[in-house]
Amino acid sequence: MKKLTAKDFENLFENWRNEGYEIYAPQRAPYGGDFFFEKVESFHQCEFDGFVNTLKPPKDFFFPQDAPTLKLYRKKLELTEISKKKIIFGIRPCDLEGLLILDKFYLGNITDPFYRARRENTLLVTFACFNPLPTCFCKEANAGPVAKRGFDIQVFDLGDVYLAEAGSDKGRRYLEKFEEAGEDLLKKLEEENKKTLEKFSPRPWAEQNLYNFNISKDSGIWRELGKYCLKCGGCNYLCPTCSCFNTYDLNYGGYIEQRREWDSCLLEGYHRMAGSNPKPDAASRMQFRFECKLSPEINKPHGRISCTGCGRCIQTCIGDAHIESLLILMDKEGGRK
Amino acid sequence: MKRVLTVCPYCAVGCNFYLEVEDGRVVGLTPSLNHPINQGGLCIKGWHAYQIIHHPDRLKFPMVKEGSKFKRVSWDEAVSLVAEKFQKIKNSYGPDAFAVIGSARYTNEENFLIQKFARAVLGTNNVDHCARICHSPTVTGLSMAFGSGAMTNSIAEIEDAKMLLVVGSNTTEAHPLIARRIIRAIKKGAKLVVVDPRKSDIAEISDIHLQLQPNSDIVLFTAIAKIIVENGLHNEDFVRSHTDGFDEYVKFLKDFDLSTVPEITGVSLSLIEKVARMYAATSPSTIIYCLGVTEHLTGTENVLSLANLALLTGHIGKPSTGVNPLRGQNNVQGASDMAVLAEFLPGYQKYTDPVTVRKFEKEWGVEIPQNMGLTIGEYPDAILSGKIKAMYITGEDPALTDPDASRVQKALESLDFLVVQDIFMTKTAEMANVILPAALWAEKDGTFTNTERRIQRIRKAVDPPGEAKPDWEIISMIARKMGFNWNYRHPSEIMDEIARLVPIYAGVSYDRLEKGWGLQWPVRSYEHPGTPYLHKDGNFTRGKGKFHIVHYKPPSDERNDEYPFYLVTGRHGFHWHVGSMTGKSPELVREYPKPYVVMNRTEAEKIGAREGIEVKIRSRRGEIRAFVKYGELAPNTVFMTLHFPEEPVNLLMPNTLDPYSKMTDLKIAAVKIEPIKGEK
Amino acid sequence: MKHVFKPTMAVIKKVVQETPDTKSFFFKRDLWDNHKPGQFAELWVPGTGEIPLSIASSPDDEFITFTVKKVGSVTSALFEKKEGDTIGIRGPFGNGFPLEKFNGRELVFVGGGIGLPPLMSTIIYALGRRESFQGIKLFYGARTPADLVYRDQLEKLSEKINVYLTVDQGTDSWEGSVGVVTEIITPERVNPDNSVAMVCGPGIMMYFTVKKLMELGFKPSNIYLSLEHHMKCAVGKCGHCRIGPYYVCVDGPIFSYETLKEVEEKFAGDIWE
Repeated sequence: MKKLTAKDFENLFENWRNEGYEIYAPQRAPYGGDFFFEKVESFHQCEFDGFVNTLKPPKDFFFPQDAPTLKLYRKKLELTEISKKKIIFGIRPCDLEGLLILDKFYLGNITDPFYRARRENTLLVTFACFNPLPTCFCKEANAGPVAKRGFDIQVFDLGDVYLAEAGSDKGRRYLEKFEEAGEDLLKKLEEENKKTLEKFSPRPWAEQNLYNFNISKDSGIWRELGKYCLKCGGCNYLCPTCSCFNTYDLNYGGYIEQRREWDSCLLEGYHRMAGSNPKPDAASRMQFRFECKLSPEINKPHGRISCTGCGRCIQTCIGDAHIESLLILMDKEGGRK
Repeated sequence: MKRVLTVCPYCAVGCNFYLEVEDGRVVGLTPSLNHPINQGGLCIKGWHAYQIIHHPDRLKFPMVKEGSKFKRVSWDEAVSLVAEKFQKIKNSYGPDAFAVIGSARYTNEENFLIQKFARAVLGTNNVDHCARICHSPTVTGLSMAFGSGAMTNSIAEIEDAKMLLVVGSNTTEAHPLIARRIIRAIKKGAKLVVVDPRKSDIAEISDIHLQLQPNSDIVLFTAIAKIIVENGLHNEDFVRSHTDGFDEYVKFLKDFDLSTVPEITGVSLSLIEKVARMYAATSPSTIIYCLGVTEHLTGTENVLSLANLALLTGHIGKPSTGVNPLRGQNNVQGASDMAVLAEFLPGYQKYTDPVTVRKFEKEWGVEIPQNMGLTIGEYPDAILSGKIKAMYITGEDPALTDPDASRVQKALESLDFLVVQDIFMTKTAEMANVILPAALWAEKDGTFTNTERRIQRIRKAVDPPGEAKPDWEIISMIARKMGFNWNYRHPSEIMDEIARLVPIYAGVSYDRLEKGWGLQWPVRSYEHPGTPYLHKDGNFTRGKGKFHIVHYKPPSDERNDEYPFYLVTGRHGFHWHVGSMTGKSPELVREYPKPYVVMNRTEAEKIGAREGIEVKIRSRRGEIRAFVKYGELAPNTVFMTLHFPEEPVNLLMPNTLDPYSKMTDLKIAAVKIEPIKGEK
Repeated sequence: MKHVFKPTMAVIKKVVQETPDTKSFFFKRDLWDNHKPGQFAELWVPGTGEIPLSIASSPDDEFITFTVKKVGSVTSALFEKKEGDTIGIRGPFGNGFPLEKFNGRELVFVGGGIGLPPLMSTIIYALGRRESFQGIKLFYGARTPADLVYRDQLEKLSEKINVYLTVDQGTDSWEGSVGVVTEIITPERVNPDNSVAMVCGPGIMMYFTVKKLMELGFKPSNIYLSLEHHMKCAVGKCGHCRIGPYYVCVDGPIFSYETLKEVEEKFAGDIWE
């Protein structure tokens, strides 16, 4: 574990920029003040004050909301594979775990070249959380507030000083030249981490129900959730592990583009085929979404549930059909043991 | 990446999101978590709003019709032609030979210029927009009852109401972010009563669903009023101190015969009584309504019957109460405020008032017309009888969206000169002599006013395609060519002019709109913070609230043996109106690719149809086709959305006018339904 | 590694009208090395969209063939294409029928309507290896005689194997069976102990066929279905074809009914739709 100051980070940034990296860090957008990952030149341009997380998950860098895949112009076919050297500086542990799930999904046996191009040459510097929001439950979802894997560097912001640990060879190389942190700092970190765990809103129904997904197909839970789903697509769009997409064409006269956009399995049209629909009602689509997140069989290849407790679906849901509602209904039905 | 905070271009909730711009292109968007209206949420249309911007079908160049084709011309040529033709027609036939249609999608500044163009440049009050066929009864009715024709309370207050009476509103589909507030209220323990002939999604989560026969609202609400008064559940203090006309109203209620109510409405008296008691006795109670109330021959009277309930119980002038119309389009409230309406000057001021007229004439430097103008429903007849020779239509598609659409199309085709300003080639644009390509909301600065009277900034994110220009620039160009000195450099200057002329916008200026989340009118001065709810503590805009006695009238297009069903029209959550914008988003089109009509299963089977087969739907005015879908509606009622321009449902709807607001009887038509031969 | 999303722009060599709303499109054999019967490909009509289509030709055939029914916007756009036009093709995808497992057994094919093409590809392939199997039978039904696909091929086929045809609604000139396809699968015609059934057609037809086969004594592990679930990317990434833990485009489209039974009971969605 190394000890760093703001000046050390300034040097690190300059180092990275000289190596040709584009650095993305949290910044408030003008007028609304919402946080986004924006390109920064120096460490002091990062705005960590009041930053818990962005509403749009960093999966956007690797799996964008709407981007071209193929371009056809006069019989010439071009693939739009974009690869840039970049650093996501300040990604949170919940989003990191989400990214690792997307990696397993998109880079497995059959690799998606578009995702791979965007994903390569990316350095991940995660900032552990000390101030969860009321909607956060990474603690119960085993995805935070401290990251356990997948990062190149993990930073702990203790206010006047930073602690940083390497999670990969690349990370180790960058942290080489900095001082080791002393016992007293390590102790302070342990205390802060313990304090953080107390800050989470109590969710007594979460732990048990996240890991015991066993709801039958005709359970009233799905109907209840389906009644309150307003089919906005927000939960799917903002979820760090949702990976479904829709492919569509745009015809600009002689020039044709095939594009890929985020899709939502809660929309009826997602499931419909010519003339029929295997999931015509909101209830069956609710089951489809949540089994994808929590079913042990479906999540076996990932080695963990596909929910990282980031709380975005709770923030954006305009009905009342997000994962918290599900877990509460499960709790009511199952009774707490 | 640039993140530009702007307002959604679809409905009037006015959600805010950031358009994400890279290399001059909008590549996505993210809802604003901090914004008090949508708090990180967006409906599916909002999520896809950016997909219209760079669509290949955007109009890029001015065009003039030659023969049956359109030829690209320069801006100068187009504007000169328009100015010349307009001047000629004005000289030959006078100012009232023109009709101007403004747009509920345009900014306040642009709508202000449109009505200024009609009144100051052309000299006519024949200026109107689609609010006429949507919420004009709200403007008229609530003005008559309270003095102010707008939503009385705010969106955020809805979630704290303890009882919600939702009438004629398919909130979960038409205003999802308001449905969010209703759902939060329910989860906090509030009671929800939904009044709708159709079992919509919001009716599914309601405590009581009054599935009334279409058009019987007046009878239902008068019955509720009578039950409230007879049981002493009205707020005596409030009525005595803050209302006019109570005694005559009570006398009318006494003579009202409750025994006819179940037959006309199809709802039992016991259920009505339950609702009456719930509304009167719970506090705070709020009324939320939409087009199911207004789009009728008795639209204004329907609104008045709701206003009476609020006055009786005193559920008004306090947080989480009131009578709350949900306006439709992103800036229909603003277009109404800016008086793109035949009977008002901006700010609902009257040109029958000499002081107001002098104020405008002084600012504009020209005399303004003082005779009542024609409204949307009156244009087709006026055109076909030769009274109107030329039209300037901006941002609307009357050939598809106005009732009795085939008559409208016939009228538009017979005009001497038609100028259409729009972003896509619409059905109306196909009939134009001159087409002017306009910029989208994401390509200009300006303000929208949402349904809770909140004036918000929209911000330019990218440049318009080709040679398209923001509408305020186009209108100014034409005015200048016609000899008027319109030299606005930026929409903020137009807003400054609005602030000078319109008392409810008096304190609005762009520097105030730079920070914060907009201003809710009335904003009486530069220091005034805006007004979350109106008629505070019973101080109505007109002084005291007024009771109005209203009588039931059957719809203009009545059912009979030949036309046994009532067709009720409306929206669903995935498309917006005739789909000129939502039709560009693949995930939205995918949801409902084909036109459908919702029928009760037993009634469908009785006519030999079943779910999935195509049927013919015929009214006294036209015929269209659609596929059958099962649903639950009041007996002998069917439902269709207006979202499929290839089968324009407004072809079937009547065009009889509500005498108060000139609203057309657009919600109901008597229809006959038959399966198409050859279908199994 | 082959780029799974890059289509090969291929020229249409021949177009044949099969029925009033069905056409066959023929492409040169060199689109790909080899495919297995039962696999599918993605056809891209640039500017309109991409759809999954079963490969109707056998791997031994000189052309690669797709037989398409006009049902939506992409198929309508495809129908406008003529000989010499170019469209994009990606493939082959999916698992194909596991014929290696069926040595010595009798192959019973049951097809409905537009479900015949993938079965046809398998039948022709199996015929080329006739000795490996005890027998081959085809049961095929469509709505009307005009909707029967590959009429000529079926005539020729009936000289080599047993072909049983039926239509839901007959016409004056139709002399064959009238009724749904389950009615022509009779106990005398099949031997459930040594047969393997391969079924493809509309969901409702497959549902009743499986029911009938089980009534006749077929075990779920001996019934194979070719599912037509809404596949889009064809490589298990876009999510649309997922049923339970399986992706129809990667783990299917051929599934044994034994596998599907488990999925049907537990996971979301109606596999028969």
